[in-house]
Amino acid sequence: MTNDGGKGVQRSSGSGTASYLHPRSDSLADVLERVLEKGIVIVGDIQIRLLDIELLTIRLRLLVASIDKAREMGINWWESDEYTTRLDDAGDKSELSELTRRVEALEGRMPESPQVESNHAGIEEEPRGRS
Amino acid sequence: MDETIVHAYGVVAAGAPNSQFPPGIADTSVWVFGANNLAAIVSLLPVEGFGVTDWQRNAGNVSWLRHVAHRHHEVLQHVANTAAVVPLRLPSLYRNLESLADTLHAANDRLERDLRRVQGKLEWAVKVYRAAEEQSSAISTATASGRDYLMARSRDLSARSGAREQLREQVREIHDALGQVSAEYVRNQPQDAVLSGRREQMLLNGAYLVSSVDQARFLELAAEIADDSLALGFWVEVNGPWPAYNFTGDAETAAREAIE
Repeated sequence: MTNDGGKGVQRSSGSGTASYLHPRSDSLADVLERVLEKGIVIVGDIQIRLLDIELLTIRLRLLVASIDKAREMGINWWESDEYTTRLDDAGDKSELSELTRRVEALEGRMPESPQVESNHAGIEEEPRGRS
Repeated sequence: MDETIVHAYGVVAAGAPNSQFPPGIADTSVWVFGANNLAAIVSLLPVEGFGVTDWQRNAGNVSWLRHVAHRHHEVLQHVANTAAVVPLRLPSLYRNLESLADTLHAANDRLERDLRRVQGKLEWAVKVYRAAEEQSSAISTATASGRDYLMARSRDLSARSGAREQLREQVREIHDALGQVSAEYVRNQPQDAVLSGRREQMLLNGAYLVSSVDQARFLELAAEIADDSLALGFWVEVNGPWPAYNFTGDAETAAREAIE
């Protein structure tokens, strides 16, 4: 790794705190990535699996909604940027198709309709068992 | 009072220090529910608006999701500042406190293991973006012949694939260097550019579990890497500390979601 050029450019003057440092991000993407995909899953009396699937769908919709929104504002560089698209192909191979695959895989494991048969409390009764 | 449902934010060891919590989901008050050797950070949510059916009804409702996700996170962030905490993944709903206690009991071993795993450590996020887009060497349309064009095109393609390989290697080096100062580290799927809100392409979305004694060293190294990376055309963003979201839960899940 080269060591010339750029030294000090990013650091804000004097304070010793680098300007690239963002203590605690409020970015929705950062937070969602963690609270929806990370952390431990413990299975209680409220069945989680259906919700899990729904959350993947949420993420899909979010993504699509964001893209639509950006298009509305005339931002569509990712569609024409050949280099980025190619790098994407090499690396993160469309998050969308991966999510779609996962949603399909999860739905394939489901007995039938993902409709919740909720009681008055909105709580689904189902035995434990999801690993 | 209207019907409520228990929302658990995270799990701490019984007797862990706790102070005034920030407001929970739906502005409910957050408190510590002790169950044997563990304790859960909980609040009681109104079933009306936050029950199971609401999770489904609000699929795609960004403002609802933003509220739930941020409040869940803010409570965990607050706790993580003073105690080891295992974040619970959303949704985290329990019919009542008794049911939550049973669930904690059933998952006791995993929870204790994760608590030991994150004890004295916090998570840092490091993202690497490709800085400004360099104009890729467009092949001149004035090239003399079709043959020349094809040769130029082939050279251009192999140069690009070489550059891509080099890029990948450099990013891997950064990730591994930071990993040397971390207890554990993991590489997540780069965020979609639209979601990350940055035009620059994300090359690395890394998470690093860093012990408090190594934190200064980790940040110093990250700062050096950020400085050095400018010359490589990278923009490095360091972000944290976060509760250890990426280092709790099933290894299987983590592996499935990691890139490589």
